[in-house]
Amino acid sequence: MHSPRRLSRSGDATRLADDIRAETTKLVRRPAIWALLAIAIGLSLTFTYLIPYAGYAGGTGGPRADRGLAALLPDQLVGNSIGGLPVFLGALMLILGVLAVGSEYASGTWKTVVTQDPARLRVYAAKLVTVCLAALAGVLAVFAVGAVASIAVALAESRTMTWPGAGDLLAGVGAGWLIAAMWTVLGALSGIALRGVALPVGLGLVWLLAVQNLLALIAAPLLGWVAQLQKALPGPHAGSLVAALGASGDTPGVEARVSGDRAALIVGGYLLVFAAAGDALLRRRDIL
Amino acid sequence: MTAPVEARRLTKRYGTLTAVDNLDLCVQPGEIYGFLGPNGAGKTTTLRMLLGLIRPTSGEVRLFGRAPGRLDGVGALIEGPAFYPYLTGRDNLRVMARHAGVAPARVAAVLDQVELTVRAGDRYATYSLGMKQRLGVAATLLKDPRLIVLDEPTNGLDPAGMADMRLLVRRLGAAGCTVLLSSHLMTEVQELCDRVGVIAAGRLVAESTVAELRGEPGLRLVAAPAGRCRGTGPKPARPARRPGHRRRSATHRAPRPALPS
Repeated sequence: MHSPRRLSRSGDATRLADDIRAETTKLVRRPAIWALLAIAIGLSLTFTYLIPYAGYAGGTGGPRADRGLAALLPDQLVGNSIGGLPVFLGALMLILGVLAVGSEYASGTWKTVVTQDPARLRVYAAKLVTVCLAALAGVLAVFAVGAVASIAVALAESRTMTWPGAGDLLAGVGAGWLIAAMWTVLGALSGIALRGVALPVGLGLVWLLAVQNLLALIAAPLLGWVAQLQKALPGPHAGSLVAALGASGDTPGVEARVSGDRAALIVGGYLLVFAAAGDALLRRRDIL
Repeated sequence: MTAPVEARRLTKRYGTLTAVDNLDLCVQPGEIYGFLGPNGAGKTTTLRMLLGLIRPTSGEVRLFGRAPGRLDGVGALIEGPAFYPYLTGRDNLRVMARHAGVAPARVAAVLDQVELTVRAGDRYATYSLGMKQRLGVAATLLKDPRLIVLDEPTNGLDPAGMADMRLLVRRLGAAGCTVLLSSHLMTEVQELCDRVGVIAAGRLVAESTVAELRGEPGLRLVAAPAGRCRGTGPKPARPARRPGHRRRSATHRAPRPALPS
């Protein structure tokens, strides 16, 4: 048997780059990932621009119709683009993380990958890098579609276009990426902890879409300790961070409970904790 | 030369269930070693421990003298092939080549080796079981391994697929590769292997050469763990085979002593 030409073994960085390329291929070629992106863009466009504009243009007299045109114009791009991340866009990011990691268990491919001799930690790191880059791409796509939609609204209503400053845009993209990455890594952790896809997705959606809201709307006003607990959970901090950057308080999950800086620190802390917990679990547990 | 596979007092317990019990195993360089046992005997659990996929409760594993989990020079197909259904066969191998640190150019060579080049551009989801198994073997060959671990590679295949797979294993052996092959089929290990270890209820209960297994006395009952790998002397002589001539199946042979259960 002839000897294969080995790539450079000069260091883990080279091998990590190879693993990232492998993970990128898996992610980019997977139709479900593109479906997630399409859903994220569709939901964002529908609930941030189309329905509010339909309410304004049609003069339907809905309870928030007075919010009106100003919220749809380009100067509101940052808040509009990241406002969905504490809840519904966050849920889609969580699914992304589960798909990237949990499906290796569901399809039995972990053993195929690991027997190729990459270190588990390196493959896990490559997965996190890849899904976090995918999360950034998702955030940028939502910004781009939001920009196009707000231009369309401004043109349709003959309004002048005032754009957020570059600093605000960067802060918005950065904060959005931070929140999206946190949910994505939580999804990856769930996939490892529960060794699959269905249960982590189901439980994640229940948490993000139901339990968070029940805690905020029902339990916290009644019980002081729940209100205190809210200050430690990732969702409320994501809501505080986007609120600090201009997201409307009308959006589910958006509420300024703490300052933007503190919220960013806590969200970043959760990101690191979720990543470390996933690594610890993956290293300790058998691959069945 | 260091033994490709060496396991001492290998044990795996799941709660009160002992899946593998004080198992000693030594595979010599260049041999095709059959790991024979019924379903549930502990074959796959043993192989997973050898490869570092699961941790032993106790005992020691060395592949080429190295700690478990270091699989440079080792290829493995465990409990059936598993790939990404939305990728083509070729892209699946490219992904695995990246993980292995092997140049993607190697992919074409291994596809050719398992005769899957023609369908390499089709999605894995469209493959027959035989093609999936061959792709699994192709993935094990990416690193040009010195040791290949195959866990029941003919499981679920039709007779033609089984014949193809066995031919592939013979070729690997002829190329000097050490092969550890698990199977629950006596005929398979007789046909392919130089030496056979029999596992039952998690214990290695017998070990012999295939010649011994075919009827000559001398099947070594392993009543107690051997303790350490025997020397690394020459492997047992593989039965001579004429090229292209398949050995008669076991059902055509004279009765042989029953293996311990």
